[in-house]
Amino acid sequence: MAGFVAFAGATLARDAAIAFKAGGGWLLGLVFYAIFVTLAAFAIGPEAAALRPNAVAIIWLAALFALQFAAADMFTADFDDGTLKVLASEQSSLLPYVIGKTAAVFLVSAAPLILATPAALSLFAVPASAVWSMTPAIAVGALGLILAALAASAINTALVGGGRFAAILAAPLSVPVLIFGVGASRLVLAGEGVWTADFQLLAASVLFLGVAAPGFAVLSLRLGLE
Amino acid sequence: MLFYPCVLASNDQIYPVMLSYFSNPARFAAFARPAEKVAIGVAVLAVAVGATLGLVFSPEDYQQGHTVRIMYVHVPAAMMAQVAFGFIALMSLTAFVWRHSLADACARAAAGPGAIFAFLTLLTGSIWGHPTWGAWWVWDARLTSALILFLTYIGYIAVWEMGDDKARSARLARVVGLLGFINVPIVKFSVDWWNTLHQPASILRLDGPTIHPSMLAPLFAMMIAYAALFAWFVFVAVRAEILERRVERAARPAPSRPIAAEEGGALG
Repeated sequence: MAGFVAFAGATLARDAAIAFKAGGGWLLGLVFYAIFVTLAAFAIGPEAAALRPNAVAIIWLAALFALQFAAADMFTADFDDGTLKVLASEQSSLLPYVIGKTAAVFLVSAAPLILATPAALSLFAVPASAVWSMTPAIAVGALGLILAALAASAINTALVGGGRFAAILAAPLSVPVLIFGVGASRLVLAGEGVWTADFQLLAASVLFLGVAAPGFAVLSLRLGLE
Repeated sequence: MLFYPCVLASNDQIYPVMLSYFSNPARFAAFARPAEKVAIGVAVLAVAVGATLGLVFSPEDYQQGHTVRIMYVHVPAAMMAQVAFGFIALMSLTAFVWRHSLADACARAAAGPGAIFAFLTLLTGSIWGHPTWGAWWVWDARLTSALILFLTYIGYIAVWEMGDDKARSARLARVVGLLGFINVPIVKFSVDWWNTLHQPASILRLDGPTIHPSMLAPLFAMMIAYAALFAWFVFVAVRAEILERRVERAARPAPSRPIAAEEGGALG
């Protein structure tokens, strides 16, 4: 158990260090998210009455694509330079590695995006008093979106080493998170509170992905190394 | 279960007899050649019966008129799209556990017809929806999950077609087949929650079917036809795959010493 945590923690620390120290890689997801939200506002128009009903949908789509974008190549570098091969041969399981990687993507790409969501809601004419209410839903949902992208990205890396093919595989896996995430966000903005049925189903979908996705990712990486 | 008729052997171990019997490609091909002919014969016969009953002898619906006849091509396609993915998942699991390449070939062979069935479901459903609901497409739960199933097929086929190493594609296709199979019911549940307009199930119900026999007979005939067509396609595609591998093996330079006997040897 201690070894498990140490391995996962080392992976997380290494990835976070790479992302925060060099080249501003951690900003990519956030910038993509900001650009998507801004362009969507241009597409919808400046009227508050038109913007407000679309706020939740646009923000969730922006988060979905930004996180898929951020997670699509999460294994590519380690796969290409042989790190993964070394880790797979010296460690009894790659599960801590995959969990560390997921945590790193959450910390590096999802956390800034979650913190930027109130600002995005303000852009869509949502009253200032309500902008923080969506944070629990988007935080839980971001984890689910990363987990969906995780399995797809592992399969993609093992198959062809990289590229945008992961998005095709991640899309069907993201559907439940998107449906219940948008539902929970709409309800909380309508004043129904955080702990709604939609939020519980969102949490259930994320828990399911949390059980299934890392296992499938480990399996795919191992098969890719064979 | 057709593909797992297990028997209890004397040492109390459940042993998949038929599976190991057909895991030999030569035996499979020998079985598939006549089975293909039976399957295509059944398919043609059942289409003839189903089309005649459906187009001529079955009554119009009191609300929908003649458009109800689209059901005879729509419902079997929807059924087979789901059955084919179940078959892919079963073959993926088989390939995963027993590491047998013939199961991979079966799963791959089912993907093409499965995707076509899924597409036909969407197409005929759309044509049926236009006069019935007044729209080519509505974001109803069943339509949405059929669309997601189609996308899952696309992803599965892409795994086979994208990689340049066939053995690696086969191994990863097993993972995608199983993952997709787990995901489809979850998507179904979530879109059910999201929105529902489509009528509830009317054939498979505990209190018996709610469709009149004059409509049920052509529907069952068409279901048999689609299933037989699917079986024919899988038999032909797997046999073609066996032959292709034989050609590939023959084209390769001979090894310095014989590695396996032709009869009962592993594929490829």
